[in-house]
Amino acid sequence: MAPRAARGRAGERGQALIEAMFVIPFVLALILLILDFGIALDRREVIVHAVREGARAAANGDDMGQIQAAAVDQSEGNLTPDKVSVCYRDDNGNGYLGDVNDSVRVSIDHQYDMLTGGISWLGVPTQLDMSPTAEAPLLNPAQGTPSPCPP
Amino acid sequence: MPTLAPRTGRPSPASAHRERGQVLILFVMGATVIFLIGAIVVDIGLWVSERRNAQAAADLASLAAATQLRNANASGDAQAKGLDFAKRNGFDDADSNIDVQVNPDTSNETVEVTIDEQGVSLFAGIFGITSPHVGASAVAAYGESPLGPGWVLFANSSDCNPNSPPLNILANHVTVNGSTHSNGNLHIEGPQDDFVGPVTWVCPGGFNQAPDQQNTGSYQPAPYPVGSQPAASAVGSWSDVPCTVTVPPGTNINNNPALWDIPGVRLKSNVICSDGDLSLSGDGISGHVTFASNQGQITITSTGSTGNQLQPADSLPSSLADLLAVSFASPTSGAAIDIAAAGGLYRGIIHAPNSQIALTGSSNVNINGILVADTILLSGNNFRMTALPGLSGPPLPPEIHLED
Repeated sequence: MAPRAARGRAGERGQALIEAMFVIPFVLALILLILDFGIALDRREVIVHAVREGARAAANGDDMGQIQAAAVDQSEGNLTPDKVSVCYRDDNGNGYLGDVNDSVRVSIDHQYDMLTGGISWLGVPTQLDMSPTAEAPLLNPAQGTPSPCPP
Repeated sequence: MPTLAPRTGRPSPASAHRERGQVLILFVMGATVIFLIGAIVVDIGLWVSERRNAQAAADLASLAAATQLRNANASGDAQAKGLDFAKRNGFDDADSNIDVQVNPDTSNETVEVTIDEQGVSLFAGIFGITSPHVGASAVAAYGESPLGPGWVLFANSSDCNPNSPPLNILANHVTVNGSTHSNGNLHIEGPQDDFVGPVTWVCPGGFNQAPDQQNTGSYQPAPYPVGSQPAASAVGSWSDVPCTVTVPPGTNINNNPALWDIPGVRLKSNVICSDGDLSLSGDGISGHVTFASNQGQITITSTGSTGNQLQPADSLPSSLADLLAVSFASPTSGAAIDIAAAGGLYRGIIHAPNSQIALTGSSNVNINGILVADTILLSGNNFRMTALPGLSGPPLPPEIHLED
């Protein structure tokens, strides 16, 4: 008859493998989630940087196309011009939109698709909304036809 | 004789007993290191991100504040503007975690905006770092711009009625090289009028252009409103006009041989004055001559497309050296100076301080000078207007920039 300890160890054979089968997917999902949020944070920084560059161009009096191009150029390929909107406010109240001392608001509409969106049953959203805005004073008159910001 | 125990690959029960609890210690030490790294990576990342946000907001707020540095209440206006733009970019001074300081220096025409924020800490709090200060500052300066290029069109009336703009440009395919200004409203009908130089007006909402002009015309820089500008006055009063020859009211210069070197071709150099109307018509006429009327209308008409070549009289003093035509009339209807120019060159200042100048251009005529009047009506097509050299125009927008 085998000793008692030896019998116990023999009975635990394969247990680690089964435990690993349960644990490893969760560990991998956790790592993927951390990685995904890291990428999302990086994307957010890029988009916020892009909207600021757009605002800088807008403050200089550039027209809509130039403002959109400035933001898209800084977006590391994550934006298209139609996602960049520009509007103006008649801050100096002189009835003319887009002159010096008015302000311009640049907004970006962007959604980050989560890589781990498939595990939404864990509470992970499928998309993260990233829609930053920046407002700048107009230092030169706006080129083109400025559109007013909604009230 | 000592003997070695056989190697089984397993710890003996005695050593296993001694190693109990070792994993727990390793786990606690490992978790501490992991939390420390987490604190460094996540929290510092958040603080850096917040600092970048604060820097961007400080930059924009300081630029906005600097635009106010030439106001009568420069300090107060700059502070209000700086706080407003910091708030619009996410840093509201009213928030207890945020402190925004706007410090204008009116003597050096700079303004510094400092943003201080209580940073958020997720893991660092475990190590006692609960509220780090995250912030940024920016300094912006107001830079004086040079004056714009010389005036080409200057309407002095302050009329803000949209139906009667003091400067009414109905002409199409016109190129204006210089400054265009109305102390009231300004209308440009076009199409395809190109303005190389500031286009400015005073009345709120006083700039109006036809849709065709909006689509086909060009402006460099874009039109912008300014405050009322002092009239680009050529002659103060009738007594300042240095007449060399005076003719009766209603004189048709074509019918006065004494005024010609070659009748119908070349005029003598004169300052031709009249209390009433003066008129000249023809094609291919040249001369250094100034036309002046006290109370009448001056009419110059091209009858062909060769064009006239008219320049100011040689005898004018240096202060009036560029005066081509002046009328102090204030007729109840019509223009004090009415010029229909087809081809050729008209160089000099054309001045009607109390009334209108009506200019109809065509056939690529060059108007090299300034039209200064109470109101100006421009019509015709295909002509060019260029400012006289050496004369300045309106102030350009200030050059506001961030200091290093």
